[in-house]
Amino acid sequence: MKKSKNIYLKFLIIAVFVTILVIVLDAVVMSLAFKMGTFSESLIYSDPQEAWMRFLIATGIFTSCIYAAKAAYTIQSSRDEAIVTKELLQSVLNTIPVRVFWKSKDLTYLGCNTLFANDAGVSSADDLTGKDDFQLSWSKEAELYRADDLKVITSGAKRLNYEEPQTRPDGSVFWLNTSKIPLCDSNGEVYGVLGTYEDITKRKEKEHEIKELNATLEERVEDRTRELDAINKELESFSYSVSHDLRAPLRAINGFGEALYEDYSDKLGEEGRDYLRRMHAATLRMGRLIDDLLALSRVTRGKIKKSETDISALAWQVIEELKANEEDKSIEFNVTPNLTAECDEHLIEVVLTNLINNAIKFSKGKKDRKIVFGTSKVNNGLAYYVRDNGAGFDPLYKAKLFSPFQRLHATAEFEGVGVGLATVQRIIHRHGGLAWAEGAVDKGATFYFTLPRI
Amino acid sequence: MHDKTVLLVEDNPDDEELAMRAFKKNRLSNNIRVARDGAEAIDYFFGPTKDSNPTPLLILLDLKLPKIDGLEVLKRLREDDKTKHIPIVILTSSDEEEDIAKSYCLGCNSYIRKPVDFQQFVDAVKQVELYWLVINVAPPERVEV
Repeated sequence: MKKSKNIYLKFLIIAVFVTILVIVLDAVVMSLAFKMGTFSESLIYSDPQEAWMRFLIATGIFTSCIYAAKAAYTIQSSRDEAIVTKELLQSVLNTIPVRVFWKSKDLTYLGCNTLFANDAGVSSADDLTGKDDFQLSWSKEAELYRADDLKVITSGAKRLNYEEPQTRPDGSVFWLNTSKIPLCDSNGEVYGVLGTYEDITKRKEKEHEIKELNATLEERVEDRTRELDAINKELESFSYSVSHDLRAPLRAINGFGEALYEDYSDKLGEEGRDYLRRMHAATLRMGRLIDDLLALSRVTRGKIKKSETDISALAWQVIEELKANEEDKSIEFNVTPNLTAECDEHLIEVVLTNLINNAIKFSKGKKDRKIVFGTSKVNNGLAYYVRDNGAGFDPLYKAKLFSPFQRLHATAEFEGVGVGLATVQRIIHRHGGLAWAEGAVDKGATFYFTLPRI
Repeated sequence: MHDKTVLLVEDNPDDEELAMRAFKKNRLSNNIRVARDGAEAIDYFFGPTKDSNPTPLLILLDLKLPKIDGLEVLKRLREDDKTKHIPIVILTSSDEEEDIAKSYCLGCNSYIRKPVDFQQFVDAVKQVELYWLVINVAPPERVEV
Protein backbone atom coordinates (compact mmCIF):
# COMPACT_ATOMS: atom_id res chain seq x y z
CA MET A 1 0.00 0.00 0.00
CA LYS A 2 2.80 2.41 0.94
CA LYS A 3 4.59 1.76 -2.34
CA SER A 4 1.52 2.63 -4.42
CA LYS A 5 0.94 5.88 -2.48
CA ASN A 6 4.51 6.93 -3.13
CA ILE A 7 4.03 6.37 -6.80
CA TYR A 8 0.88 8.45 -6.79
CA LEU A 9 2.73 11.37 -5.15
CA LYS A 10 5.62 11.03 -7.60
CA PHE A 11 3.23 11.26 -10.54
CA LEU A 12 1.52 14.35 -9.06
CA ILE A 13 4.82 16.19 -8.66
CA ILE A 14 5.90 15.18 -12.17
CA ALA A 15 2.54 16.44 -13.49
CA VAL A 16 3.01 19.89 -11.84
CA PHE A 17 6.58 20.11 -13.13
CA VAL A 18 5.67 19.08 -16.65
CA THR A 19 2.86 21.63 -16.75
CA ILE A 20 5.12 24.47 -15.53
CA LEU A 21 7.81 23.29 -17.94
CA VAL A 22 5.37 23.36 -20.86
CA ILE A 23 4.16 26.86 -19.97
CA VAL A 24 7.74 28.14 -19.70
CA LEU A 25 8.86 26.39 -22.90
CA ASP A 26 5.86 27.78 -24.67
CA ALA A 27 6.79 31.31 -23.63
CA VAL A 28 10.41 30.81 -24.73
CA VAL A 29 9.40 29.33 -28.04
CA MET A 30 6.92 32.15 -28.63
CA SER A 31 9.42 34.90 -27.83
CA LEU A 32 12.23 33.39 -29.90
CA ALA A 33 10.46 31.89 -32.82
CA PHE A 34 7.78 34.37 -33.42
CA LYS A 35 9.62 37.38 -31.99
CA MET A 36 6.58 38.50 -30.20
CA GLY A 37 8.55 40.45 -27.65
CA THR A 38 10.75 39.66 -24.77
CA PHE A 39 10.44 36.52 -22.63
CA SER A 40 8.66 38.43 -19.91
CA GLU A 41 6.41 40.01 -22.49
CA SER A 42 5.49 36.67 -23.92
CA LEU A 43 4.60 35.43 -20.42
CA ILE A 44 2.07 38.17 -20.20
CA TYR A 45 -0.53 37.21 -22.65
CA SER A 46 -1.42 40.23 -24.59
CA ASP A 47 -3.79 38.35 -26.79
CA PRO A 48 -6.57 37.03 -24.60
CA GLN A 49 -7.50 34.32 -27.15
CA GLU A 50 -3.94 33.08 -27.26
CA ALA A 51 -3.70 33.19 -23.49
CA TRP A 52 -6.87 31.10 -23.26
CA MET A 53 -5.48 28.58 -25.68
CA ARG A 54 -2.27 28.26 -23.74
CA PHE A 55 -4.20 27.85 -20.53
CA LEU A 56 -6.25 25.06 -22.11
CA ILE A 57 -3.14 23.25 -23.34
CA ALA A 58 -1.53 23.52 -19.90
CA THR A 59 -4.68 22.22 -18.18
CA GLY A 60 -4.90 19.35 -20.68
CA ILE A 61 -1.33 18.31 -20.04
CA PHE A 62 -1.88 18.57 -16.29
CA THR A 63 -5.05 16.47 -16.42
CA SER A 64 -3.34 13.83 -18.57
CA CYS A 65 -0.54 13.64 -16.04
CA ILE A 66 -3.05 13.17 -13.23
CA TYR A 67 -4.82 10.39 -15.15
CA ALA A 68 -1.53 8.72 -15.87
CA ALA A 69 -0.73 8.89 -12.17
CA LYS A 70 -4.09 7.39 -11.31
CA ALA A 71 -3.66 4.57 -13.79
CA ALA A 72 -0.19 3.82 -12.46
CA TYR A 73 -1.60 3.78 -8.95
CA THR A 74 -4.36 1.32 -9.88
CA ILE A 75 -1.92 -1.03 -11.57
CA GLN A 76 0.48 -0.87 -8.66
CA SER A 77 -2.18 -1.39 -6.01
CA SER A 78 -3.62 -4.45 -7.76
CA ARG A 79 -0.09 -5.75 -8.01
CA ASP A 80 0.27 -5.11 -4.28
CA GLU A 81 -2.97 -6.93 -3.55
CA ALA A 82 -1.83 -9.90 -5.58
CA ILE A 83 1.41 -9.93 -3.62
CA VAL A 84 -0.49 -9.69 -0.35
CA THR A 85 -2.83 -12.53 -1.37
CA LYS A 86 0.11 -14.66 -2.41
CA GLU A 87 1.94 -13.98 0.84
CA LEU A 88 -1.18 -14.75 2.83
CA LEU A 89 -1.72 -17.96 0.89
CA GLN A 90 1.88 -18.99 1.38
CA SER A 91 1.77 -18.34 5.11
CA VAL A 92 -1.46 -20.34 5.35
CA LEU A 93 0.18 -23.16 3.42
CA ASN A 94 3.20 -23.02 5.67
CA THR A 95 1.12 -23.05 8.84
CA ILE A 96 -1.28 -25.93 8.19
CA PRO A 97 0.00 -29.30 9.40
CA VAL A 98 -0.38 -31.04 6.04
CA ARG A 99 2.03 -31.13 3.14
CA VAL A 100 0.91 -29.28 0.01
CA PHE A 101 2.49 -29.26 -3.47
CA TRP A 102 1.40 -28.57 -6.96
CA LYS A 103 2.76 -29.73 -10.27
CA SER A 104 2.37 -28.69 -13.86
CA LYS A 105 0.92 -30.87 -16.58
CA ASP A 106 4.41 -32.16 -17.42
CA LEU A 107 4.66 -33.31 -13.76
CA THR A 108 7.36 -30.87 -12.67
CA TYR A 109 6.88 -29.02 -9.40
CA LEU A 110 5.35 -25.53 -9.51
CA GLY A 111 5.32 -24.94 -5.76
CA CYS A 112 4.91 -26.39 -2.29
CA ASN A 113 4.69 -25.49 1.38
CA THR A 114 7.58 -25.59 3.85
CA LEU A 115 6.64 -28.97 5.30
CA PHE A 116 6.73 -30.50 1.87
CA ALA A 117 10.06 -28.81 1.11
CA ASN A 118 11.40 -30.28 4.37
CA ASP A 119 10.23 -33.76 3.40
CA ALA A 120 11.93 -33.36 0.03
CA GLY A 121 15.09 -32.19 1.77
CA VAL A 122 15.25 -28.79 0.01
CA SER A 123 15.56 -25.47 1.85
CA SER A 124 12.72 -23.63 0.08
CA ALA A 125 9.92 -24.08 -2.37
CA ASP A 126 11.94 -22.26 -5.02
CA ASP A 127 14.58 -24.98 -4.97
CA LEU A 128 11.92 -27.48 -5.94
CA THR A 129 10.34 -25.57 -8.79
CA GLY A 130 10.98 -27.22 -12.13
CA LYS A 131 12.15 -30.51 -10.70
CA ASP A 132 10.33 -33.81 -11.12
CA ASP A 133 9.98 -36.79 -8.73
CA PHE A 134 12.88 -38.70 -10.27
CA GLN A 135 15.22 -35.98 -9.07
CA LEU A 136 14.09 -36.24 -5.46
CA SER A 137 14.78 -38.66 -2.61
CA TRP A 138 11.69 -40.68 -3.48
CA SER A 139 12.88 -41.60 -6.96
CA LYS A 140 11.89 -45.20 -6.08
CA GLU A 141 8.26 -44.16 -5.70
CA ALA A 142 8.35 -41.62 -8.56
CA GLU A 143 6.58 -43.92 -11.02
CA LEU A 144 3.82 -44.55 -8.51
CA TYR A 145 3.30 -40.84 -7.80
CA ARG A 146 3.40 -39.86 -11.45
CA ALA A 147 0.90 -42.56 -12.40
CA ASP A 148 -1.54 -41.11 -9.86
CA ASP A 149 -0.80 -37.54 -11.04
CA LEU A 150 -1.52 -38.53 -14.64
CA LYS A 151 -4.74 -40.27 -13.66
CA VAL A 152 -5.96 -37.08 -11.97
CA ILE A 153 -4.82 -34.82 -14.82
CA THR A 154 -6.28 -36.94 -17.61
CA SER A 155 -9.55 -37.80 -15.89
CA GLY A 156 -10.01 -34.45 -14.15
CA ALA A 157 -11.29 -36.39 -11.14
CA LYS A 158 -10.09 -36.19 -7.53
CA ARG A 159 -8.28 -39.05 -5.85
CA LEU A 160 -8.82 -38.83 -2.11
CA ASN A 161 -7.34 -40.45 1.00
CA TYR A 162 -5.14 -43.25 -0.19
CA GLU A 163 -2.04 -44.59 1.50
CA GLU A 164 1.42 -44.73 -0.06
CA PRO A 165 5.05 -44.90 1.02
CA GLN A 166 7.62 -42.12 0.69
CA THR A 167 11.41 -42.39 0.91
CA ARG A 168 12.97 -39.40 2.64
CA PRO A 169 16.48 -38.01 1.90
CA ASP A 170 17.95 -40.01 4.82
CA GLY A 171 16.61 -43.24 3.32
CA SER A 172 13.84 -43.76 5.89
CA VAL A 173 10.43 -44.72 4.57
CA PHE A 174 7.33 -42.90 5.77
CA TRP A 175 3.67 -43.61 5.21
CA LEU A 176 1.37 -40.98 3.76
CA ASN A 177 -2.34 -40.43 3.47
CA THR A 178 -2.53 -38.58 0.16
CA SER A 179 -5.22 -36.71 -1.79
CA LYS A 180 -4.81 -35.19 -5.24
CA ILE A 181 -7.10 -32.85 -7.16
CA PRO A 182 -6.79 -31.40 -10.65
CA LEU A 183 -5.87 -27.70 -11.07
CA CYS A 184 -8.08 -25.95 -13.64
CA ASP A 185 -7.85 -22.54 -15.25
CA SER A 186 -10.82 -20.19 -15.77
CA ASN A 187 -11.78 -22.13 -18.89
CA GLY A 188 -11.90 -25.35 -17.00
CA GLU A 189 -8.75 -26.65 -18.68
CA VAL A 190 -6.58 -28.82 -16.41
CA TYR A 191 -3.12 -27.31 -16.15
CA GLY A 192 -1.72 -29.31 -13.26
CA VAL A 193 -2.32 -31.27 -10.12
CA LEU A 194 -2.51 -30.20 -6.46
CA GLY A 195 -1.55 -32.74 -3.86
CA THR A 196 -1.75 -32.85 -0.08
CA TYR A 197 -0.74 -35.53 2.34
CA GLU A 198 -0.54 -36.26 6.01
CA ASP A 199 2.29 -38.19 7.64
CA ILE A 200 0.58 -41.29 9.07
CA THR A 201 3.77 -43.23 9.79
CA LYS A 202 3.19 -43.25 13.54
CA ARG A 203 -0.40 -44.40 13.11
CA LYS A 204 0.79 -47.10 10.72
CA GLU A 205 3.43 -48.21 13.18
CA LYS A 206 0.82 -48.40 15.95
CA GLU A 207 -1.52 -50.35 13.67
CA HIS A 208 1.30 -52.69 12.83
CA GLU A 209 2.16 -53.08 16.51
CA ILE A 210 -1.48 -53.83 17.35
CA LYS A 211 -1.67 -56.33 14.50
CA GLU A 212 1.49 -58.03 15.70
CA LEU A 213 0.24 -58.03 19.28
CA ASN A 214 -3.05 -59.54 18.17
CA ALA A 215 -1.23 -62.15 16.16
CA THR A 216 1.05 -63.12 19.04
CA LEU A 217 -1.91 -63.01 21.41
CA GLU A 218 -3.82 -65.40 19.18
CA GLU A 219 -0.76 -67.60 18.97
CA ARG A 220 -0.42 -67.56 22.73
CA VAL A 221 -4.10 -68.33 23.20
CA GLU A 222 -3.76 -71.22 20.76
CA ASP A 223 -0.69 -72.46 22.59
CA ARG A 224 -2.47 -72.27 25.91
CA THR A 225 -5.55 -73.98 24.48
CA ARG A 226 -3.37 -76.77 23.16
CA GLU A 227 -1.66 -77.06 26.52
CA LEU A 228 -5.02 -77.07 28.29
CA ASP A 229 -6.37 -79.69 25.90
CA ALA A 230 -3.34 -81.84 26.58
CA ILE A 231 -3.74 -81.38 30.34
CA ASN A 232 -7.44 -82.20 30.09
CA LYS A 233 -6.68 -85.34 28.10
CA GLU A 234 -4.07 -86.30 30.66
CA LEU A 235 -6.54 -85.62 33.45
CA GLU A 236 -9.13 -87.74 31.67
CA SER A 237 -6.81 -90.69 31.28
CA PHE A 238 -5.65 -90.14 34.86
CA SER A 239 -9.22 -90.27 36.13
CA TYR A 240 -9.89 -93.32 34.02
CA SER A 241 -6.90 -95.07 35.44
CA VAL A 242 -7.84 -93.97 38.96
CA SER A 243 -11.31 -95.31 38.43
CA HIS A 244 -9.99 -98.68 37.24
CA ASP A 245 -6.64 -99.31 38.78
CA LEU A 246 -7.00 -97.80 42.25
CA ARG A 247 -10.19 -99.66 42.95
CA ALA A 248 -8.89 -103.09 41.93
CA PRO A 249 -6.43 -103.49 44.86
CA LEU A 250 -9.13 -102.17 47.20
CA ARG A 251 -11.48 -104.88 46.05
CA ALA A 252 -8.74 -107.44 46.67
CA ILE A 253 -8.03 -106.16 50.22
CA ASN A 254 -11.72 -106.03 50.99
CA GLY A 255 -12.55 -109.36 49.35
CA PHE A 256 -9.71 -111.42 50.80
CA GLY A 257 -10.17 -109.77 54.19
CA GLU A 258 -13.75 -110.92 54.02
CA ALA A 259 -12.63 -114.41 52.99
CA LEU A 260 -10.20 -114.48 55.89
CA TYR A 261 -12.97 -113.41 58.23
CA GLU A 262 -15.33 -116.07 56.94
CA ASP A 263 -12.91 -118.98 56.68
CA TYR A 264 -10.51 -118.36 59.56
CA SER A 265 -12.57 -116.33 61.97
CA ASP A 266 -12.17 -118.84 64.81
CA LYS A 267 -8.37 -118.83 64.53
CA LEU A 268 -8.05 -115.04 64.50
CA GLY A 269 -9.40 -114.27 67.94
CA GLU A 270 -11.40 -111.19 68.83
CA GLU A 271 -8.48 -108.76 68.27
CA GLY A 272 -7.73 -110.24 64.83
CA ARG A 273 -11.37 -109.97 63.88
CA ASP A 274 -11.41 -106.35 65.02
CA TYR A 275 -8.41 -105.57 62.81
CA LEU A 276 -10.17 -107.16 59.88
CA ARG A 277 -13.29 -105.09 60.51
CA ARG A 278 -11.15 -101.93 60.55
CA MET A 279 -9.49 -102.97 57.27
CA HIS A 280 -12.89 -103.59 55.79
CA ALA A 281 -14.20 -100.15 56.86
CA ALA A 282 -11.03 -98.48 55.55
CA THR A 283 -11.40 -100.05 52.12
CA LEU A 284 -15.00 -98.86 51.89
CA ARG A 285 -13.97 -95.38 52.90
CA MET A 286 -11.21 -95.29 50.33
CA GLY A 287 -13.67 -96.53 47.72
CA ARG A 288 -15.96 -93.59 48.51
CA LEU A 289 -13.00 -91.21 48.39
CA ILE A 290 -12.06 -92.39 44.92
CA ASP A 291 -15.66 -92.09 43.75
CA ASP A 292 -15.96 -88.55 45.11
CA LEU A 293 -12.68 -87.53 43.50
CA LEU A 294 -13.90 -88.92 40.22
CA ALA A 295 -17.12 -86.96 40.59
CA LEU A 296 -15.11 -83.80 41.25
CA SER A 297 -12.94 -84.32 38.20
CA ARG A 298 -15.99 -85.12 36.08
CA VAL A 299 -17.49 -81.79 37.08
CA THR A 300 -14.39 -80.02 35.75
CA ARG A 301 -14.37 -81.91 32.49
CA GLY A 302 -17.21 -82.00 30.00
CA LYS A 303 -19.27 -79.16 28.61
CA ILE A 304 -21.91 -77.20 30.51
CA LYS A 305 -25.32 -77.57 28.89
CA LYS A 306 -27.43 -74.68 30.17
CA SER A 307 -31.20 -74.60 29.96
CA GLU A 308 -34.07 -72.91 31.79
CA THR A 309 -34.51 -75.08 34.89
CA ASP A 310 -37.24 -75.25 37.53
CA ILE A 311 -34.82 -75.28 40.43
CA SER A 312 -37.57 -75.59 43.07
CA ALA A 313 -38.81 -78.80 41.46
CA LEU A 314 -35.20 -80.01 41.27
CA ALA A 315 -34.75 -79.31 44.99
CA TRP A 316 -37.88 -81.35 45.83
CA GLN A 317 -36.68 -84.23 43.65
CA VAL A 318 -33.33 -84.25 45.49
CA ILE A 319 -35.09 -84.04 48.87
CA GLU A 320 -37.37 -87.00 48.04
CA GLU A 321 -34.36 -89.13 47.06
CA LEU A 322 -32.40 -88.22 50.20
CA LYS A 323 -35.42 -88.64 52.46
CA ALA A 324 -35.76 -92.26 51.34
CA ASN A 325 -32.38 -93.08 52.91
CA GLU A 326 -32.94 -91.03 56.06
CA GLU A 327 -34.16 -92.71 59.21
CA ASP A 328 -35.39 -89.52 60.90
CA LYS A 329 -38.69 -88.86 59.14
CA SER A 330 -39.44 -85.75 61.22
CA ILE A 331 -37.13 -83.35 59.34
CA GLU A 332 -39.10 -80.38 58.08
CA PHE A 333 -38.26 -79.40 54.50
CA ASN A 334 -39.25 -76.02 53.12
CA VAL A 335 -38.70 -75.02 49.47
CA THR A 336 -39.60 -71.60 48.01
CA PRO A 337 -41.78 -72.45 44.98
CA ASN A 338 -41.27 -71.41 41.33
CA LEU A 339 -37.57 -70.60 41.47
CA THR A 340 -35.94 -70.87 38.06
CA ALA A 341 -32.40 -70.55 36.79
CA GLU A 342 -30.44 -70.78 33.54
CA CYS A 343 -28.12 -73.65 34.36
CA ASP A 344 -26.88 -77.16 33.65
CA GLU A 345 -29.64 -79.16 35.30
CA HIS A 346 -27.53 -82.23 35.97
CA LEU A 347 -24.69 -80.25 37.58
CA ILE A 348 -27.04 -78.15 39.74
CA GLU A 349 -28.67 -81.38 40.85
CA VAL A 350 -25.20 -82.43 42.06
CA VAL A 351 -24.91 -79.07 43.89
CA LEU A 352 -28.31 -79.43 45.57
CA THR A 353 -27.66 -83.06 46.46
CA ASN A 354 -24.38 -82.11 48.13
CA LEU A 355 -25.82 -79.13 50.01
CA ILE A 356 -29.05 -80.78 51.15
CA ASN A 357 -27.21 -83.98 52.04
CA ASN A 358 -24.80 -81.87 54.15
CA ALA A 359 -27.73 -80.12 55.80
CA ILE A 360 -29.23 -83.51 56.72
CA LYS A 361 -25.86 -84.85 57.85
CA PHE A 362 -24.85 -81.90 60.02
CA SER A 363 -28.23 -81.53 61.73
CA LYS A 364 -28.25 -85.16 62.86
CA GLY A 365 -29.14 -85.50 66.54
CA LYS A 366 -30.75 -82.04 66.77
CA LYS A 367 -34.34 -81.43 67.75
CA ASP A 368 -36.85 -79.84 65.30
CA ARG A 369 -34.58 -80.29 62.30
CA LYS A 370 -35.48 -77.84 59.60
CA ILE A 371 -33.93 -77.48 56.13
CA VAL A 372 -34.85 -74.57 53.87
CA PHE A 373 -34.13 -73.92 50.21
CA GLY A 374 -34.82 -70.33 49.19
CA THR A 375 -33.39 -67.13 47.79
CA SER A 376 -32.17 -63.85 49.20
CA LYS A 377 -31.18 -60.58 47.57
CA VAL A 378 -27.46 -59.85 47.27
CA ASN A 379 -25.55 -56.91 45.76
CA ASN A 380 -25.89 -57.94 42.14
CA GLY A 381 -28.95 -60.13 42.06
CA LEU A 382 -30.31 -63.24 43.63
CA ALA A 383 -28.54 -65.85 45.74
CA TYR A 384 -30.00 -69.32 46.27
CA TYR A 385 -29.39 -70.84 49.67
CA VAL A 386 -29.72 -74.06 51.64
CA ARG A 387 -30.14 -73.42 55.36
CA ASP A 388 -30.15 -75.86 58.28
CA ASN A 389 -30.33 -75.53 62.05
CA GLY A 390 -27.60 -78.10 62.69
CA ALA A 391 -24.06 -78.17 64.02
CA GLY A 392 -22.92 -75.13 62.03
CA PHE A 393 -19.23 -74.26 61.82
CA ASP A 394 -16.64 -71.91 63.25
CA PRO A 395 -16.64 -68.85 60.92
CA LEU A 396 -12.88 -68.64 61.46
CA TYR A 397 -12.45 -71.59 59.10
CA LYS A 398 -14.98 -70.36 56.56
CA ALA A 399 -12.39 -70.09 53.80
CA LYS A 400 -11.32 -73.73 54.26
CA LEU A 401 -14.82 -75.10 53.76
CA PHE A 402 -14.67 -75.21 49.98
CA SER A 403 -11.18 -76.68 49.58
CA PRO A 404 -11.03 -80.40 48.78
CA PHE A 405 -10.23 -82.70 51.73
CA GLN A 406 -10.78 -79.94 54.28
CA ARG A 407 -13.04 -81.08 57.05
CA LEU A 408 -14.15 -79.05 60.02
CA HIS A 409 -15.60 -82.02 61.85
CA ALA A 410 -14.03 -85.31 62.93
CA THR A 411 -14.85 -88.30 60.75
CA ALA A 412 -16.27 -90.11 63.76
CA GLU A 413 -18.70 -87.24 64.31
CA PHE A 414 -19.87 -86.77 60.74
CA GLU A 415 -18.70 -89.11 58.01
CA GLY A 416 -17.52 -87.82 54.66
CA VAL A 417 -14.33 -87.21 52.72
CA GLY A 418 -14.49 -83.45 52.24
CA VAL A 419 -14.91 -83.27 48.49
CA GLY A 420 -18.61 -82.31 48.35
CA LEU A 421 -18.26 -78.57 48.88
CA ALA A 422 -15.23 -78.41 46.56
CA THR A 423 -17.44 -80.00 43.92
CA VAL A 424 -20.22 -77.48 44.66
CA GLN A 425 -17.83 -74.57 44.30
CA ARG A 426 -16.35 -75.88 41.09
CA ILE A 427 -19.79 -76.31 39.51
CA ILE A 428 -20.90 -72.81 40.59
CA HIS A 429 -17.66 -71.27 39.30
CA ARG A 430 -18.17 -73.02 35.99
CA HIS A 431 -21.58 -71.30 35.85
CA GLY A 432 -19.87 -67.94 36.46
CA GLY A 433 -21.35 -67.70 39.95
CA LEU A 434 -20.09 -67.55 43.51
CA ALA A 435 -20.51 -69.91 46.45
CA TRP A 436 -20.08 -68.94 50.10
CA ALA A 437 -21.26 -69.94 53.55
CA GLU A 438 -22.43 -68.31 56.75
CA GLY A 439 -22.80 -69.96 60.11
CA ALA A 440 -21.75 -70.34 63.72
CA VAL A 441 -21.06 -73.31 65.96
CA ASP A 442 -24.37 -74.95 66.97
CA LYS A 443 -26.34 -72.20 65.23
CA GLY A 444 -26.76 -73.90 61.87
CA ALA A 445 -25.23 -73.11 58.50
CA THR A 446 -26.42 -71.38 55.33
CA PHE A 447 -24.77 -72.15 52.01
CA TYR A 448 -25.31 -69.57 49.27
CA PHE A 449 -24.68 -69.73 45.53
CA THR A 450 -25.43 -67.46 42.60
CA LEU A 451 -26.22 -68.40 39.00
CA PRO A 452 -25.82 -65.26 36.92
CA ARG A 453 -27.91 -64.93 33.77
CA ILE A 454 -25.46 -63.88 31.07
CA MET B 1 -27.47 -131.22 36.17
CA HIS B 2 -27.41 -129.55 32.76
CA ASP B 3 -24.06 -127.96 31.92
CA LYS B 4 -24.30 -124.29 32.80
CA THR B 5 -21.10 -122.79 31.47
CA VAL B 6 -20.09 -119.23 32.29
CA LEU B 7 -17.13 -117.55 30.58
CA LEU B 8 -15.33 -115.06 32.79
CA VAL B 9 -13.03 -112.67 30.91
CA GLU B 10 -10.80 -111.19 33.59
CA ASP B 11 -7.10 -110.30 33.60
CA ASN B 12 -6.70 -109.51 37.31
CA PRO B 13 -5.93 -112.74 39.25
CA ASP B 14 -7.31 -111.27 42.49
CA ASP B 15 -10.58 -110.36 40.81
CA GLU B 16 -10.65 -113.82 39.22
CA GLU B 17 -10.17 -115.50 42.60
CA LEU B 18 -12.83 -113.32 44.22
CA ALA B 19 -15.26 -114.01 41.36
CA MET B 20 -14.62 -117.76 41.68
CA ARG B 21 -15.30 -117.48 45.41
CA ALA B 22 -18.55 -115.69 44.68
CA PHE B 23 -19.57 -118.34 42.11
CA LYS B 24 -18.77 -121.09 44.60
CA LYS B 25 -20.91 -119.42 47.26
CA ASN B 26 -23.83 -119.06 44.89
CA ARG B 27 -23.58 -122.58 43.44
CA LEU B 28 -25.60 -121.62 40.41
CA SER B 29 -23.14 -122.44 37.64
CA ASN B 30 -21.07 -125.60 37.54
CA ASN B 31 -18.61 -124.82 34.79
CA ILE B 32 -16.65 -121.59 34.99
CA ARG B 33 -14.19 -120.99 32.16
CA VAL B 34 -11.72 -118.13 32.39
CA ALA B 35 -10.10 -116.09 29.60
CA ARG B 36 -7.28 -113.92 30.97
CA ASP B 37 -7.14 -111.35 28.18
CA GLY B 38 -9.14 -110.23 25.14
CA ALA B 39 -7.23 -112.45 22.72
CA GLU B 40 -7.95 -115.56 24.83
CA ALA B 41 -11.63 -114.64 24.85
CA ILE B 42 -11.68 -114.38 21.07
CA ASP B 43 -9.74 -117.65 20.77
CA TYR B 44 -12.30 -119.40 22.97
CA PHE B 45 -14.85 -118.93 20.18
CA PHE B 46 -12.76 -118.67 17.02
CA GLY B 47 -9.38 -120.28 17.89
CA PRO B 48 -8.17 -123.86 17.14
CA THR B 49 -9.89 -125.36 20.21
CA LYS B 50 -13.24 -123.68 19.54
CA ASP B 51 -15.06 -126.95 18.83
CA SER B 52 -14.16 -128.47 22.18
CA ASN B 53 -15.24 -125.32 24.09
CA PRO B 54 -18.87 -125.40 25.26
CA THR B 55 -20.97 -122.39 24.30
CA PRO B 56 -21.47 -120.43 27.54
CA LEU B 57 -24.88 -119.35 28.78
CA LEU B 58 -23.34 -116.12 29.96
CA ILE B 59 -20.19 -114.12 29.40
CA LEU B 60 -18.89 -111.83 32.17
CA LEU B 61 -16.63 -109.36 30.40
CA ASP B 62 -14.15 -106.90 31.90
CA LEU B 63 -13.44 -103.80 29.81
CA LYS B 64 -9.80 -103.04 30.54
CA LEU B 65 -7.96 -106.04 29.19
CA PRO B 66 -4.50 -106.65 27.76
CA LYS B 67 -4.02 -107.27 24.01
CA ILE B 68 -7.63 -106.81 22.88
CA ASP B 69 -9.81 -104.67 25.13
CA GLY B 70 -13.28 -105.61 26.32
CA LEU B 71 -15.15 -103.31 23.92
CA GLU B 72 -13.33 -104.87 20.96
CA VAL B 73 -14.14 -108.39 22.22
CA LEU B 74 -17.79 -107.35 22.57
CA LYS B 75 -17.80 -105.92 19.07
CA ARG B 76 -16.33 -109.06 17.49
CA LEU B 77 -18.67 -111.42 19.35
CA ARG B 78 -21.67 -109.37 18.24
CA GLU B 79 -20.47 -109.36 14.63
CA ASP B 80 -20.41 -113.14 14.35
CA ASP B 81 -23.61 -115.10 13.81
CA LYS B 82 -22.41 -117.86 16.13
CA THR B 83 -21.88 -115.61 19.13
CA LYS B 84 -24.14 -112.63 18.61
CA HIS B 85 -26.94 -114.03 20.80
CA ILE B 86 -24.88 -115.01 23.84
CA PRO B 87 -25.82 -112.83 26.82
CA ILE B 88 -22.88 -110.61 27.73
CA VAL B 89 -22.70 -108.74 31.05
CA ILE B 90 -19.99 -106.11 31.41
CA LEU B 91 -18.33 -106.42 34.82
CA THR B 92 -15.87 -103.58 35.25
CA SER B 93 -14.38 -100.94 37.56
CA SER B 94 -15.31 -98.13 35.24
CA ASP B 95 -18.43 -96.07 35.61
CA GLU B 96 -17.35 -93.60 32.92
CA GLU B 97 -20.34 -92.54 30.87
CA GLU B 98 -18.43 -93.14 27.67
CA ASP B 99 -17.69 -96.78 28.56
CA ILE B 100 -21.31 -97.40 29.54
CA ALA B 101 -22.65 -95.80 26.36
CA LYS B 102 -20.20 -97.64 24.10
CA SER B 103 -20.93 -100.99 25.75
CA TYR B 104 -24.66 -100.66 25.20
CA CYS B 105 -24.14 -99.41 21.64
CA LEU B 106 -22.09 -102.49 20.89
CA GLY B 107 -24.84 -104.69 22.27
CA CYS B 108 -24.06 -105.74 25.84
CA ASN B 109 -27.05 -107.09 27.79
CA SER B 110 -26.18 -105.54 31.12
CA TYR B 111 -23.52 -103.34 32.72
CA ILE B 112 -22.35 -103.83 36.31
CA ARG B 113 -19.75 -101.84 38.14
CA LYS B 114 -17.64 -103.97 40.47
CA PRO B 115 -18.29 -102.74 44.00
CA VAL B 116 -15.38 -102.45 46.45
CA ASP B 117 -17.36 -104.28 49.12
CA PHE B 118 -17.04 -108.05 48.61
CA GLN B 119 -20.47 -108.74 50.08
CA GLN B 120 -22.01 -106.44 47.51
CA PHE B 121 -19.95 -108.15 44.81
CA VAL B 122 -21.16 -111.60 45.85
CA ASP B 123 -24.68 -110.26 45.83
CA ALA B 124 -24.30 -108.74 42.36
CA VAL B 125 -22.82 -111.97 40.91
CA LYS B 126 -25.61 -113.97 42.54
CA GLN B 127 -28.30 -111.82 41.00
CA VAL B 128 -26.65 -111.92 37.59
CA GLU B 129 -26.34 -115.70 37.67
CA LEU B 130 -29.85 -116.12 39.00
CA TYR B 131 -31.28 -113.99 36.26
CA TRP B 132 -29.27 -115.17 33.25
CA LEU B 133 -28.90 -118.83 34.19
CA VAL B 134 -32.21 -119.51 35.88
CA ILE B 135 -34.91 -116.93 35.18
CA ASN B 136 -33.94 -115.96 31.66
CA VAL B 137 -34.82 -118.26 28.77
CA ALA B 138 -31.52 -118.77 26.91
CA PRO B 139 -31.31 -118.50 23.11
CA PRO B 140 -31.33 -121.90 21.33
CA GLU B 141 -27.98 -123.39 20.24
CA ARG B 142 -28.82 -122.70 16.60
CA VAL B 143 -30.42 -119.35 16.07
CA GLU B 144 -31.97 -118.96 12.66
CA VAL B 145 -34.71 -116.52 11.72
